[in-house]
Amino acid sequence: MIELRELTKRYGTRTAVDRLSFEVRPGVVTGFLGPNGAGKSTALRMLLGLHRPTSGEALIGGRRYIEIRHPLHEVGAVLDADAAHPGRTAFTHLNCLARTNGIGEQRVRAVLDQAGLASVAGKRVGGFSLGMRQRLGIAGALLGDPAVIVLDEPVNGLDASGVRWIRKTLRALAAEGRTVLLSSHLMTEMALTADRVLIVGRGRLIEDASVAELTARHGSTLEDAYLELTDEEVEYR
Amino acid sequence: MTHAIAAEWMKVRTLRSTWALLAGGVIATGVGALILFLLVGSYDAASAADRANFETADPTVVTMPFVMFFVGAIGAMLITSERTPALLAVPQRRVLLSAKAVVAGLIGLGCGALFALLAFADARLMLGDRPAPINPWPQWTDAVPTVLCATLIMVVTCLVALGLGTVLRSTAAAITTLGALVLVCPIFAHFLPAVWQLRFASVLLPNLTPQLAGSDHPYLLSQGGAAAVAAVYVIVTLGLGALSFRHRDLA
Repeated sequence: MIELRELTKRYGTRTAVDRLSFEVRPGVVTGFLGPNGAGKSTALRMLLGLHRPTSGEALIGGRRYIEIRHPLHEVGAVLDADAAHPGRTAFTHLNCLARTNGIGEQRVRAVLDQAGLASVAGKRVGGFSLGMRQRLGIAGALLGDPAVIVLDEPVNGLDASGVRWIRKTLRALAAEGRTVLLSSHLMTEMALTADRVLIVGRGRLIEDASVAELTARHGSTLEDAYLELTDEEVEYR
Repeated sequence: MTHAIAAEWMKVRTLRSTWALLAGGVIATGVGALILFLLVGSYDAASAADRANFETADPTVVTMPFVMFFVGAIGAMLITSERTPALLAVPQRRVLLSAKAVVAGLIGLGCGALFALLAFADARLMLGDRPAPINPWPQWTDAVPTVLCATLIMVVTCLVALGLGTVLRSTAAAITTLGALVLVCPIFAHFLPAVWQLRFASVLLPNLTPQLAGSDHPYLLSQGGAAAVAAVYVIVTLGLGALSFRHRDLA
């Protein structure tokens, strides 16, 4: 389970994340929605120990991420499609990651196969399409067979087959009882993928509800509900 | 920590830039050998009086600063080529930087020994039994302290470069600063007034090798002083790197 408690991040006088609190439970795909600049990526970076909170805390399974000794076994995360060095092959990129957490080459080959990249395992990442790089990122997230998956905007720029693959993969992972947190601002895709949604605006939590509850309360589609809720929250900083 | 070191070793040897930089070191050594060859030819053609005033043909002085630049750049790129997944895989920043420091030190040790021995082999082959002053090592055993100290200074250079890369967070900035430190500063030293020239040149990384070895040199530091200056280089750069790496937001 993921827990954020009063999580706050300030950059000088600007507050990017403002006393954000929520829980993400296992067994469902939870969407993390908000306009550009709402603080989604900053919150995820604090959750994963890359950014330091100004105050509050973000916990995964009751611990801060940086306290987890071999985190790939507990948390799989993709924050950036261009996260692999373009000069390395897909296999070597994953093998380097696997080695940090004591994971063997057999598992590397298994996740490459799962991501549909087995045939290009020996090719350099620099020659990969965006869809292939997203698949490689997700293969990396699955290396340690983790119970928690965190993805930041995984479907941006993907073609229809790539979007469908990620949707099916995430739903299958949640069905296995894993905690899946997925940030996006693409409403149509989120409506098809997520069971619950957390909506943030200006760094604050606006809504925490199931997709069904939200559409029943605010409009006919998730997009209608989202736009109604965030109408006053768009702010470019 | 063992897993992190093994992963860092795999990362560095699977980057093409590592091998390109090592090739740069080999080329620098080859150019140094060519210069030595020309110098020996000039020596053989000179009169006995001129031979007595020939400069010492120590190839470690000619080639090692360039080799330090190329091999040191590998140390800098250990951190500047790093991307988000590695930071997520090893979130304890102290462990990640320590693993990189171990690998940087090993690269410095291996490459330092290799290139210093190559330079020594050049000298032995080309200088033969020619006497001092052109021959810095009339007996092969005379070269041992220089080879060992050149290796040690290469370790220092790799660690300094890693520290610079950690502080500056950019490959271009780290390599430029490293180049300034090992290649440009020694040239600037020549433009300083005589007293300051020696003081400044004595604390420059490439010039620590002869001072540490206690060989014949014009500089001011004792062997202990040179060791202390080398330690200060490592402590300051890696210390600043560790501090900034620990406290800043990443990725």
